[in-house]
Amino acid sequence: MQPCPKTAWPREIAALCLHADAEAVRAYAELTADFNPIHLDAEFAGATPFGAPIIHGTLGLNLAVQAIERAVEVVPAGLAIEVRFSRPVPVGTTIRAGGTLRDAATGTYEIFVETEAGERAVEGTCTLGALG
Amino acid sequence: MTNTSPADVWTFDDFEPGAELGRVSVALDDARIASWRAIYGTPVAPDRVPAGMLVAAMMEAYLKAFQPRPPGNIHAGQTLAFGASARPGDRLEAQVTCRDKLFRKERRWVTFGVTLRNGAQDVLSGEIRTIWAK
Repeated sequence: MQPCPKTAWPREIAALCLHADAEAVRAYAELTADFNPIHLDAEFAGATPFGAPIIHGTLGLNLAVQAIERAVEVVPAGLAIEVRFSRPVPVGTTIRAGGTLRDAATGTYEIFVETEAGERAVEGTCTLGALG
Repeated sequence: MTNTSPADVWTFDDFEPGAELGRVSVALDDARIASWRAIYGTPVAPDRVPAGMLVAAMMEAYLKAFQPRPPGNIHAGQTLAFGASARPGDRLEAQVTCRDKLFRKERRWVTFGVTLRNGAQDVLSGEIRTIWAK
């Protein structure tokens, strides 16, 4: 017995949530060596147009990548992602990441990261490729 | 690559499209996997490095490849193309280049390319689109 081969990509990439508090942002800074004060220094960030520290863009993007990996189990070689970071997310926000199938033939999804208020912070596409 | 003086940060004028900015080695070791798990939870498969951890490794390579930088650079966009998978314990070699730069509407746009290789195999490549602060 073995798992049946996939015949179709899932219609939805089930959303994952993460509370992006100061501890998570500090841990992500350590993981990536990204100590940009815009993420970590309240005084510095307060003097920027953002007004307060914001989370790393890829902290949210990687939540979307996690959601994709959970949805398809094995990330296929050739997986392509293209996103823009459309809105800064203040540290302390709970973020939600997922996606919706837009083109079954190419396995293309609209993917997103959004705040608990539903404001999109990361927007783009993920293309898994044709099955079979 | 390091500019000659600590105060001599990398500015928009320093970047040359097509130029290599540095190479960085990233170990996918137990400590890194534990750091990942502390943020995102248990990886989907224990015998494969999570795809997102490769993205984090790409960011580390990009951050370490050339320093110092002006504070306040903004990450505006990202492309990613995944290749072969990586396993815990692998060591990746990253190459960071400047792909493009453009001054438009008072903003300094700089695009960097990063490729992560595991031996002869491409694991992840992509572009990091930034608004450079200085």
